[in-house]
Amino acid sequence: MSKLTSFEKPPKARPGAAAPHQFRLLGKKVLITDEHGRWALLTIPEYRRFLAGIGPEDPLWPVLQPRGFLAGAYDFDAAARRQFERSLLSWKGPGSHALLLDGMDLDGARRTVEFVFSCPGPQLTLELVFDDADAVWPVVWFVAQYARRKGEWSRRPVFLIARARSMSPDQADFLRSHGVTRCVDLALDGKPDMAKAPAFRAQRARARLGPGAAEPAAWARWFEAWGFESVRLLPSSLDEKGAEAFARFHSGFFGWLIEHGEGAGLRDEWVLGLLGGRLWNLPGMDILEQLAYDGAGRVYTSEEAAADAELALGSVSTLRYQDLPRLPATGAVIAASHPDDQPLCSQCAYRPFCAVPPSVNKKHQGGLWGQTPSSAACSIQMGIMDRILESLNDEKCLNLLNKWSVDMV
Amino acid sequence: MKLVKGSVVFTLGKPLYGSEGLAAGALALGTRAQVFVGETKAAFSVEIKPAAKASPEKLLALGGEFLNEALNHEYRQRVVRANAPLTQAVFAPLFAKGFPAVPADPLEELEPQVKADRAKDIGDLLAQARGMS
Repeated sequence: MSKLTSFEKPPKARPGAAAPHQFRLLGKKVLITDEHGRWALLTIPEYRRFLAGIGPEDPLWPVLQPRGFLAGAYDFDAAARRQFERSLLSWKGPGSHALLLDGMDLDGARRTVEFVFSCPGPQLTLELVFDDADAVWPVVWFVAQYARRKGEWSRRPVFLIARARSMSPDQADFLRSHGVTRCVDLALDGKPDMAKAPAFRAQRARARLGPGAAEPAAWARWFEAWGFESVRLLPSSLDEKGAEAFARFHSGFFGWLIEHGEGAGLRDEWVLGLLGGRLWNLPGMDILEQLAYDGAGRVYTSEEAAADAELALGSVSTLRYQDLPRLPATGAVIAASHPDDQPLCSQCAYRPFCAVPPSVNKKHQGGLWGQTPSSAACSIQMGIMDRILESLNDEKCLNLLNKWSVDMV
Repeated sequence: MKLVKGSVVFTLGKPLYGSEGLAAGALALGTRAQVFVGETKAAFSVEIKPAAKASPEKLLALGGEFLNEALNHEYRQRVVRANAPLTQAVFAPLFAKGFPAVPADPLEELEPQVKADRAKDIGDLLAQARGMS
């Protein structure tokens, strides 16, 4: 079973005509992408012409030549530059740190923040994750202020996010006044009640779909009406059924954003994460994008890895950031996260944008490498990419992505 | 795949399957089953014995899971080897230079008073937070 697409009768290619690229059939179109995330959406006859070789007089030439798809007019210097910028050679360190505050005491919180600030990188995001703010409020209060001070002292931009199921209006006000973005954990089921407010006022939402989640456009209107700036939808379960339901819901949700997004303030965090185009931009990518810290002070390769002893890297009390490359788990997750090491990913048109975090593979398929053909996480990300890329010839979609500062030109 | 006395048995031809692939398949089953392997010049014979008594459907599922992982491992190794010149060029310098941590704050190093003031500031914050508990 393959999730890749193929031609019933493969087109004939003239050697030396087309530059290296991957293709994917999307309906009656052929999407082509190169190593660096440049793309073009062609009709099947156009694709056949492209493979057979085109000259400067062909109307495809001005479309494909600047994007580096023509072997005879390939800009090797630009390709080398783009390759360096997008590969791990330009990686500066994990930018996102998930602090799982439930069960964390103040001394542990202090040591955790100090560990986070020992990590390099031009900017740091600390996501404070907890269930009910009342249960951990002194720790939330301390971390928000300590991290702000550490950011000022180290002269690095620090983004703070507090993700919870519930918090009081006073707590939300305190966080707002300290520049902490609030993110509410939601469960979406059925249709939205437009009059029903979320648990607290937040800019972001992490919304897990229930089995009966319906009317994605109405949910998008609900998020917009309650002032959310971005949403990350999550599947009800990571299996075939969950992936199919998610794909349908996400497609409707993104469709609403394409139609109304120019006048709305809502953004889709999946789209932003995938189109970042770098492994270390993909949310939750073990070590490269994220580290996580639990209440007992253990460091994990990501939030998804928390509680998995094999993906525990050490304790914030004794572990040093510079020790990470010597740990077996580090080498294993970095090798497993690289699409060039995965049979399906290395041939996939979405390779420049997408990868499944090894901790997700391990949790749901038992091994860091996972099995891409039957991976629901892969199906979900591929479905999202299909939805985005097949919409790229739509000016409304391009305008929306431009508004979100995503460069897809 | 054949079901024999509560186990699932099959034969895998060489060179498509190697011992590493079989080990990967066995690892995927973990403590749910024992895997016995015999070897001839041309093939491996494999017997998977579940840890607890299993229905024919579950036995076939165990065998399928083993085969999926074994084949996936073999193919992945081919891909890894084929792409090695590219991935090594990225991974080797990444691990060779290590993960340098942020150096100590030069201001704190040069001005001990700055370090002391900051430590007091944090101590006050901690005391306030403890007062809330």
